[in-house]
Amino acid sequence: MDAAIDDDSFNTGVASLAFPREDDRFVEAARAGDRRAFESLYTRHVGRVFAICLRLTANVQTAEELTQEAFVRAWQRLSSFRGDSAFATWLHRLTVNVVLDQQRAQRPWFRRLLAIDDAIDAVASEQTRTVSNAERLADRHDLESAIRRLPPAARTVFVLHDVEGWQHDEIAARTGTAIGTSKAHLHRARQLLREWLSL
Amino acid sequence: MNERDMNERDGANPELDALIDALPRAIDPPRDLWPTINARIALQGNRARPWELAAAAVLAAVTVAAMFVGFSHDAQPRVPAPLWAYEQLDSAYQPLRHASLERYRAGADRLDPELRKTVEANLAIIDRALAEIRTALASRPSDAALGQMLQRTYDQELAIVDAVTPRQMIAPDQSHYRGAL
Amino acid sequence: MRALNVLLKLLLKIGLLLSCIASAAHAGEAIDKTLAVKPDGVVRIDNVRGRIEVQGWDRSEVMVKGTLDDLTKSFTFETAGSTTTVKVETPDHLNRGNGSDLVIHVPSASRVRVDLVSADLTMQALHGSVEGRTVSGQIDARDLSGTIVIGSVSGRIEVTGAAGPVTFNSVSGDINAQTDAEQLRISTVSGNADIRSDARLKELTMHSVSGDLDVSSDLADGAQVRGSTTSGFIRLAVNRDVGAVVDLRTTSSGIKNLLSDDKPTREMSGGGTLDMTLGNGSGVLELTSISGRLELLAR
Repeated sequence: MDAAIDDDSFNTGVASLAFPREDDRFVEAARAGDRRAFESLYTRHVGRVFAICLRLTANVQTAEELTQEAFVRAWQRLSSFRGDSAFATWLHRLTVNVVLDQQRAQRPWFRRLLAIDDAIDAVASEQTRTVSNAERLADRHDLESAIRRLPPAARTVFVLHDVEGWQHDEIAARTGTAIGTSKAHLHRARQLLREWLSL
Repeated sequence: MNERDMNERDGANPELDALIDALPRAIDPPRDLWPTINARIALQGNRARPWELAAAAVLAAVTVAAMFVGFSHDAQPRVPAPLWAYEQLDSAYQPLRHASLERYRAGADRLDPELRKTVEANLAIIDRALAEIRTALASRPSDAALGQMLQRTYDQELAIVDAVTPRQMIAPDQSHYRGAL
Repeated sequence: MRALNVLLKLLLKIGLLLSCIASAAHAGEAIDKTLAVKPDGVVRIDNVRGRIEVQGWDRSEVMVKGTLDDLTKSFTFETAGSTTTVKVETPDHLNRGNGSDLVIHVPSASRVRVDLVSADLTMQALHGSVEGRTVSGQIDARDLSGTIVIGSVSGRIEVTGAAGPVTFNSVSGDINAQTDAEQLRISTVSGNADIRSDARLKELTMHSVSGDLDVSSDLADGAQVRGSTTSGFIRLAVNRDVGAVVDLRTTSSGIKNLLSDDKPTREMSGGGTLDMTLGNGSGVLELTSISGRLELLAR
């Protein structure tokens, strides 16, 4: 993977956690059309937004583009941000929506191309079985790369539920599946992760 | 299977939960994503022509290509992508470049002549480089690194213009130059 | 709750107003002002022309000292919440003022952002995060840590001692730096970069269009190195015992490998490739060029 993972590193997410209300000034200015203020919001939040996109998509380039898409959409919809919640919360939710919308839009395309439903999950499971011992060893405690190897549907639920703290009913509503399906995906994800990480 | 079995977050595997809790909240993207965002919102901000907006939306569709590139789950170096993905990338950037260069030309005579010379020399260097990259891509379409080179070079062009162009959307008395680079 | 919010906002605005009035200043005026601030707040500095020096210190104060541009229209020095602003506004970029000459002391843990146009920037002893940009001035920085972003269009960048993730962006200005960074990102168009890192790099990303990139650093286990250039050369010197999967490619130029005995393959087009695995192969070292030469050597 290409991206740097370090909590104290580039950009913030961290800063935006430490100073949540500081966003308000930037939001207000950005609403009035100040792109520079919006850049400040970008700088403060890009790390979190990219983390969400990367974990949900397991692909750096896709995550980059969806991060851009999320910020463009945030700019367009700033007027609908009410300020009741923190800007960060609003932005993270919007980001998840962007990713899920994109994934949904992709599905028919993949189906057409591959002519198999859930082809990706099948491929991922196949990969799972052929993981070498060396890879197993390398993956120990590397949860991040293990998440990348999860089948997409299980990964989505795992990231939203266990990493981002969403509830099953929210996930089900947002992904258009049953609550039971969401729970099953989570169970499968955790089972795979435990196996890969030898926990 | 009961709910307890399915949802193990409540302590059934504290080791895994500890690893989850230790995940970094933020991950930095490997390249600066701001120039493209900036160019896209600038385009939407004021006086954007409908076709430009429509074309900018294509950028999102490029993700289709990226999904293809990312089909392998571990981000291997140099995962091949189809040529059309880059053609799409290329055409997606055109409206952004067009608007960005138009903005530059509108304010170019207000630039310090020396700086203007530098900027234009570098825009020309970028233009030649883009042609070189496209030629290389045509003969090595499966080289993802070339596609990334194309993208980064476009981003550099957008960033140069942004660095030397006053913000149109800020009230005139507050206009200022900024270094977006 | 809502009423409280409104009240807070109102208070904030009144506070802002007061600080603006208090700091109103005239063109060319000598400035010597100090504000009490948070030790780890944000400091934003904007100026068009002249020379700005930003110095970290151990007091929870921002001090601005020097003279303003003789065409200064307004000078803002205010602190609101955790953000402190120092801003010199001049009427039009066509009018040539003599430039502001300011020394600004800030708490060393501040997150500092400086935006200049044709002004030189000096920064020292800043340990929060630093973003310093100028369009045509030069940047000189010493002893920085935290997240560091330094950018210039045509000005030269000189850095000594930068720890933390470091990003250098330049269009035509040359970059000369000694860093202690573990993460390094370099982007130039025609400017050349000559960078030495004294820490073991975990991540190195570099891109140039026609500028030459010359980087020397030890690589950490599992380091990710990716570089590309259209027509510049890339010369990368790393530790001889590096562990990485190496993949170098050019379309129409040469590859030189002095790091191991592996020989690059030459193609009919004049381009070449070098694929090899060094040591434990834990990292990635990937360089791509079209017509620029690639060189890999031992430090």
